[in-house]
Parts: sequence; C-alpha cells; structure tokens
Amino acid sequence: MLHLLLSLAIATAPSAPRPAAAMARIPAGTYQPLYGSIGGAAVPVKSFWLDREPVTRGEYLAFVRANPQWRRGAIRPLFAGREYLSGWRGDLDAGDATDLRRPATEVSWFAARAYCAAQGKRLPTVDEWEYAASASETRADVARDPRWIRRILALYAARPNGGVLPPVGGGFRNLYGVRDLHGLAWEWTLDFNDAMVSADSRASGSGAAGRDHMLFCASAAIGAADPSNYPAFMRYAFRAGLTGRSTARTLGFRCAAGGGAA
Amino acid sequence: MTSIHLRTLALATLLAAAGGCARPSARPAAAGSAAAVADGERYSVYDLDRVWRNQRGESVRLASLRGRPQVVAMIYTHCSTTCPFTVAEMKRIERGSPVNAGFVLVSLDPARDDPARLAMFATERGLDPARWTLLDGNDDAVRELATVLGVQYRRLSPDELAHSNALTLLDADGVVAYEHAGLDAPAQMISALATLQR
Repeated sequence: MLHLLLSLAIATAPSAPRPAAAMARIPAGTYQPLYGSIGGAAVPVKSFWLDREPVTRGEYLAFVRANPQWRRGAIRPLFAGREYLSGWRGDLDAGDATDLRRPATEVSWFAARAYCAAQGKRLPTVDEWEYAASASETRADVARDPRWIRRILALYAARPNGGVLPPVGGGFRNLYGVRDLHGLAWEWTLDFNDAMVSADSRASGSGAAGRDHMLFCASAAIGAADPSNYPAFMRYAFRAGLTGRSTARTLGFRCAAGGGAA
Repeated sequence: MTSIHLRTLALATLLAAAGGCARPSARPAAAGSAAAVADGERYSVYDLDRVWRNQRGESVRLASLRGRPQVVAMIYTHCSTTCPFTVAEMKRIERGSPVNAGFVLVSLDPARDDPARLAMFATERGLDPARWTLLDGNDDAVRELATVLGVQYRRLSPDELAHSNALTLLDADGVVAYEHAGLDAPAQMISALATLQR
C-alpha cells in the first residue's frame, strides 16, 4: 500500500502545480516606490504569495508540453519575438538535468503570464516585486541602506550577461524565504509597462517638461522618489525597454498569487 | 542574442537621470513603428481574442474591427486633461483621412466606463457611430492591449489615471502601420493613412 502511494506520488509529481510550500507568504506592508506615487508617498501592499524561486526551464517545459500553442514553433508572433526559447535544443528539448534547473528565460511577458495563469497564479505587480525584493536575510526594508545598495549593484555586476545562467536556488534566502530576486536574472512583472518614467515637470519647468506633458497625461504628479536608489533605477530602466513580446537570456520570471492584483 | 528592442535613448537618459530628470520611456513614434517592421515579423493585434463590450453593449472581439484601417487610442471618459484633446485630434484625422478608416477609443477605466457611459460620451462628442467604436473590457484585456500598443498607464487615485498619449494606426488586418507618441498627430497620421490606400 505504501509502495502504491509512493509510486502514485512519483507518477503525478512532474505535472502537478507547485505545492504551496514552493510559495512564500509576503505579509502586508508599505513600500516606497521609486516612481508612481503621488508626492512620493509610500504605497500599501496587500499580503500575497510569491514563488520562492524563479520558474525553471523544466517547469516551463512541462507547461509547453501541456499547452502546444506556447511551443517555440507554434507561438503567435504577437506573443513573442523570434528569440523566444531560442536557447533550447528543440521545441520540447530544454537541455539536460542541470539545464532544467536553470531559470526559464527567453520567455515573453505574454508567455510568462500564460504560464502563471496555467498554475492558477499570476505575475507579481511591480509594487509587489519591489516590496518583496527590498528585504535582506533579516530585515524587511533595506532598500535605502547604502550597504544593501552596494551589495545589490555587485550582484548585478556579477550576473552572467548573456551566457548560461546557473540553476535557481543559489542566491541568498531573504526574510520571507524567497531566493534569487537579485542575483540571477531580471524578472517580469504584471505591470512592467506602467512606470510613468518622466521628469518632474513642476520642478524643471523647462521645454522638456512641456514635451512630457505632450506624452503623458497627469505625469506631473509623478517623479522619482529617491535618485540614490540606483539598483531600482536599473530595474525600472530595464522594464522601460521591454514590450510584451520581448525576450532575453537574462530575463526570467516567477509567479504570485493572492493579494489585490488582477 | 537578445531580442529586446531596447529603447536605448530612453534607457541611457534614464540611467543618466539620477538627478531626477528623465525623458519619458514612451516609444518614439518612428522607432516604435520601425521596430515592428524591422524584425520582419508581421503580427496582428487582432490575435488578442478577449471579449469586449462596445458602446451598444454588444460583445465583440478586436477582430471585428478587421477590414479597414483603424486609428486607436486608449483614454478614459472622465479624463479632463489630454483625453479630450486626443479625441479632437482623432476627429481632425477623420475629416482629413483619404481612406475610409475607423476610429477606436478603448477605455483605460473599465470600472467606470461601461457601455452606457461610452454611448453618452460618443453622443456628446458627436462621434459618428458608423465610424467610431468605443470599447470596455476587463482589466486583463486592457492591460494586454496597452502592452501591445505600448501605452503606459497607472491609476493615481480612484478618479485619475496617468497614461501615455499615443495614437496607433492599424491596417485592415490589425498590423501596426504607424504609431504616434504624444499629441499633435493629425498631419503625420493622415499621411500614414494615405500609404494604406490601395
């Protein structure tokens, strides 16, 4: 009987969604976004669940096996550029056992979103991601700590740039039990394209400010809260360069659940 | 090996902007439309298969817009700053268009812009129902279309949204033919429409 149960568990394991243990509960709190709040106010973040590790190639492979329309050879061009999964050996060959533990990258926003939806999850919002990523091993909000900023910049500098990424789980485990938010790859967010990156036109009052008003409705309300948070600038800049079809070897994702986001 | 269309200008200026003055990351019109063409891939916005409601309360897919060029903007009807200007510009394009184009207003504020509200807005602005389609979708559908069209938006308060002002011209198959970031679009949009004349 025990043997039967064990073999059942083994047989169902690969296709089953990740258990709740694979997600960490992030408690409600507030965080100070780099952009996007009126007058630089802290914004509340509801409690939510976040994958402890980025989605792996192996997990993504299981998804495209079950959902042929997201395979490399079948995906509609609207949903991803030509480099989608281009590091794979074939449509259903994501590499050897070590490769399967590497983060799933070269995945577009549309594809990442579809993957999370298939697990009954969603992508985290920028606010949620940044909030969870402001925690060190022991403290919830170190985003403005100069030592933390230096440490994150060093991690960004040490990341493989275009080569093969190491397997997930090698980074430090933060206060919430979440790994690899900084050391491995950039990550998709649900609303990556909502940063109204713009001059604070009330402060500048220049011709450029007038131009910003042409581009953005109500952008004057939003300015960068903390120019010294350079790693956050890098993340916002990276996101600002993306479209929903973009893919990159250094861009992966993880899923979230609960909370307030659609 | 990346396929990111890095808007290098926006990125560079943003990174240089730690002093607090960054250029917006909205896609420059020319670069945006060039990117859609440069990688040699044609893709139709009409592959998005969500269901929307139009100003008559009918359930429609974007593919129902197929068959003639469409000038698309994402706005919301309670917007009192630039949105009225966007609609006025689209009406100028309508008057000057050399082709029988359609005009589409997609709400960024689906919670308040239900079909009845959209119908009222269309009447108030004198929008010809034979040419204008106003669409209300769920948050997911709006987010998806905004992503495809490169429209950035963010809710500032229950009453106000910040959003980029952009007009997109889709050809009869829903392929992006021209994008204009910012206001002052009519002249270029009319020229772009002329190139779709067959």
